[in-house]
Amino acid sequence: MTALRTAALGIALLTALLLATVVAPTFAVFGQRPDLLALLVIAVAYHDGPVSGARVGFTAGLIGDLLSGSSGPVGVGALILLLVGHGAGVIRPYLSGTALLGEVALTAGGTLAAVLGYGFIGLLLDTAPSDPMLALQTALIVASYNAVLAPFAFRLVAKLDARFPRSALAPVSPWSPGQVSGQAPRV
Amino acid sequence: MMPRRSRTLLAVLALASLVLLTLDYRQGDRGIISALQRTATGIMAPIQEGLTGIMRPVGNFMEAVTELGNLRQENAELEAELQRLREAKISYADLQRENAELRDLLAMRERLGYTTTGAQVIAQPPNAFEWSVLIDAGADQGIEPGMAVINAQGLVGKVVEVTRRNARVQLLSSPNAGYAVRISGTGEEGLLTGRGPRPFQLEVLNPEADIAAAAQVVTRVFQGTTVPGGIPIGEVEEARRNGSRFLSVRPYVDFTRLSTVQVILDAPVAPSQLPPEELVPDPDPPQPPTPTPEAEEPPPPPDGSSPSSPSPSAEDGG
Repeated sequence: MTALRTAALGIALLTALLLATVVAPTFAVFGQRPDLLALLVIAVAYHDGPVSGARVGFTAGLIGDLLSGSSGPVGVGALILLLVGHGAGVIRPYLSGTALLGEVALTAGGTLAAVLGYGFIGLLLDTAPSDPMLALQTALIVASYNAVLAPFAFRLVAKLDARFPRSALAPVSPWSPGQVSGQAPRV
Repeated sequence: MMPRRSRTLLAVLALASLVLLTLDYRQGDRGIISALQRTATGIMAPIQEGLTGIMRPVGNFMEAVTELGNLRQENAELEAELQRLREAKISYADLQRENAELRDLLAMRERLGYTTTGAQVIAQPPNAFEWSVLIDAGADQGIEPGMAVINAQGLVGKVVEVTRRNARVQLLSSPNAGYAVRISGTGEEGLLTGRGPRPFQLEVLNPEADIAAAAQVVTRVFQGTTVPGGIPIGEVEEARRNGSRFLSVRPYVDFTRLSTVQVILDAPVAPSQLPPEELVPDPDPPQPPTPTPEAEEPPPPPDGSSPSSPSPSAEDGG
């Protein structure tokens, strides 16, 4: 991963955080906002694989924990998005169907896991409401919201990937989108 | 099979997350992680604030757009709510008034110490020259003719007609009604007669008695009466002058605004059980009336009978 690509991903993460904390509340649906950090992490994991997904997930979660002034302990977001990013990167090759359907399904599943993970850890640490139905309802709404936004986020990450390509020395990811869509993997 | 590099990275980062989480959780607000968090939040806050300022018009616009569809419905709901609140306000004022009235009634009942039953006035006099009201309690509630009816201010009248569920109350202001009364402060006795919308007429039995203005007039137990003694009726309007026989008494009760009343179910103490000082000796043989200039109209006898037409209250007395 080149420095420029790292910087670009960092800016994308900060932008996603700002959008999530400032802009997204304006567009709340049923009182819920999209989880833009999880969306970005899943999109990056989809393109780059589990290693990048884990790195970006950990970083995004940590930034979110530190900068959003969340009430929960620092590390919760890092752990959850780390697992989600890594998991999304691992699962992606096994998704069948069109690329769009795979993106949407992966985003929905990943977001659902992320929100439920927040709820579960919040329950353990007594920082979240202990109503499983409420947690599930929230997770479903946020997952649906993210699924709707998934195509846009995935196109954005694809452009960023094209503008700031990974290092030529970097190992070829066996999970690159090219393989799924039948194209030759990019190097 | 997951590559080793990927597994290692996952394990390291997961461990780092758990360490951070544990440190922050254990150290609380005074730990280094929290300090780092506060610093980062301090850095980020101005940016978020600036962005919020930029986004506010957009947010307002979006809010307006998304709310546009709901505005009509919300407007209708608010209109309905406003109407409901207006009605509730009216009801609330009425409830307050009723509550105060009932409290006063209760206080009056406790003060007098009688057993009573409450009733609502359900019909006012059908014409301007009838001084009676219909209440929604009757024989089923133990009401009998002759029972006294009071409200929070004092004596309202007495029951003259009873059905199973209703009773008609002859108001104290009725010219057909006459009551034995006394001045509460001095004990001077007299006969009170209603005069319709005008103040009551009080005939003082003792021509020498001094009666001050605003002296309170209350009912007096009389032989054969069914109205308990001590119930407030009104105040003497003007002090007695020149030994005048008749005085005007301003009633406490507003007979034009009767709503809740109480019927006293306790029969007054039987004459044989009255203390000697309360017993009134048998009347002397009737004397020819002495006309006086103040006597505009002769009062009815204290038993409530009308000079012209006998009323049901005649046998009950007042």
